[in-house]
Amino acid sequence: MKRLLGVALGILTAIGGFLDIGDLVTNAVVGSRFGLTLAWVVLVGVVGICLFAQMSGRVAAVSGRATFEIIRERLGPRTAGANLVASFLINLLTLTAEVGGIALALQLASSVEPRLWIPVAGLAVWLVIWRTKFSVMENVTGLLGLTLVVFAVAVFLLGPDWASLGSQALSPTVPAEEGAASYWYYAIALFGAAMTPYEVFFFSSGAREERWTAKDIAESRINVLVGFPFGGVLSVAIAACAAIVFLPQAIEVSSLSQIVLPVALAGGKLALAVVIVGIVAATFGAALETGLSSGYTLAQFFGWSWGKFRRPAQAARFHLTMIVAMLVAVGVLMTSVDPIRVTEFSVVFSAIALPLTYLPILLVANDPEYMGEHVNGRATNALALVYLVVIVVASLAAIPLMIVTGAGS
Amino acid sequence: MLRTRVVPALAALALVSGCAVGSSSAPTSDAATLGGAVAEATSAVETTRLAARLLRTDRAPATVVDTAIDDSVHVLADASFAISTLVPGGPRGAAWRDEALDAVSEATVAVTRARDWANGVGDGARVRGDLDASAQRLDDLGSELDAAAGR
Repeated sequence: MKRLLGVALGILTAIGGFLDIGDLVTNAVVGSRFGLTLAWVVLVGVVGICLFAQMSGRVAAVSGRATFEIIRERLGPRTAGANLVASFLINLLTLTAEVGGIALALQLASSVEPRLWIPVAGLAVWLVIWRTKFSVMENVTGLLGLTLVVFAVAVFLLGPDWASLGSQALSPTVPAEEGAASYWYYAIALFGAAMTPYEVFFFSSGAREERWTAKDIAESRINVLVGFPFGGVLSVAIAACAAIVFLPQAIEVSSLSQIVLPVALAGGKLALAVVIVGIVAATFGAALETGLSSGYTLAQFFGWSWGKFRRPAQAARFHLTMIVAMLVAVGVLMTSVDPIRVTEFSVVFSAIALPLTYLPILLVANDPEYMGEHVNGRATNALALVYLVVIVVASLAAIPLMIVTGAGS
Repeated sequence: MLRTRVVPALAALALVSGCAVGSSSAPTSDAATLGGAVAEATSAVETTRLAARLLRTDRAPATVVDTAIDDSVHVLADASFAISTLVPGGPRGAAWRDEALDAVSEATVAVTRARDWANGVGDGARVRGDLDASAQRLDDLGSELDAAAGR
């Protein structure tokens, strides 16, 4: 019974923790411009992150090492160093976007300007990282994030033309008013939003935080394979709400305030309150994860003590890294940079950086010296190789498409 | 010897001159650029109309509506900047630019008044009328520009 409850909690946390500011913004933008013609990318991204998270969790549980410890061992310090710089910077960009997302969500509830909320949000995230147990932190934000299911409820309440939505999703075409370049640029953005590297850093490091062993592989697999697809459904629901309400009115999403309007239209003030709680929880949870990931990546690469399971005094450089990362994120946001634009860039750069973490994990997941009998099976490897091609193509195409489309404008 | 220096220098001068006088473009390009800015403005006005409707029907509180309209004001400012910094390629482009600037200014007034109304100042019926008129004007102009741009 206790085990069953643990599995249920894990699944619910995976669903609620799946969405972050990148998913919220990218899916809403895509829905308002392309309808559901890019819903297939969410499916591809969800399968990809399930595969990636499952591999990295298994690697951490069996080898006893987290992502960057392995990357340095496997690739050598020079290559891994370049990998670290790129991954750390993109993680920092994502952290900035998430803290900005918290401030924007709090603005919705209070009408107080986001710049006043930014330092508060940064401090709150750091305090929670500093003082709260890992499992409490993960479970509370994950469970509160479940309130974003209100987007799925809103889709039904809006009474859409299901045939039209179905046709968009099942027979995707490039809309006449958008070019092929924009279509594929946003496909890469959606893919990057679903497969953000920090999720893997956090997942594998979390496996070490919670001292997973080979016995925990089955449970983590269930959490990922059940939880993440449901999270993907919520992503599509966000896009569907935007497609139903904004697409016919030629409204292009460019702010968080727009994203919640379909929920208000569908369910009134109660639904709106629920969705704001969900957005705060999702962005706060993601800020915790990206904040921790900044510490994990640097500490694991340099071999410093790391982990919330250690007292801060025993992992001083780990905690100092997170403090500096948070200060940089807050500092950038205080220059009045638009957090939505930061988010849009962060998801695309996540897609660009994905091969850097995916390939080492794939190599190690196939290495019997690390994995013993828990190496990838044939089916997993076949799928993993397909995704390697997809990830590399997306990574190479992202910057040219960004230039050609003016970052999607 | 002089020619080998003069030609590259003239080429460089021509290139820099193009940058110095700002962007200039053919009518189709003018229409496409202006159409993009007008589309942004249309999006801002439609968002404001939706937000105002939600407040009127008590489906959203004033805090959320105020934030949504504030964001729309910023979008209109961006659209206005894009239009006012365009150097048109000819008289037709100049006429479109002036019309677009006027339409976006009208939209800005309507959206600003809507924000006042959301915060308890102003007449709701007048705000609705202003927004509807602005939306129609932007829609008409947007269609004209799209047709000229060949979309």
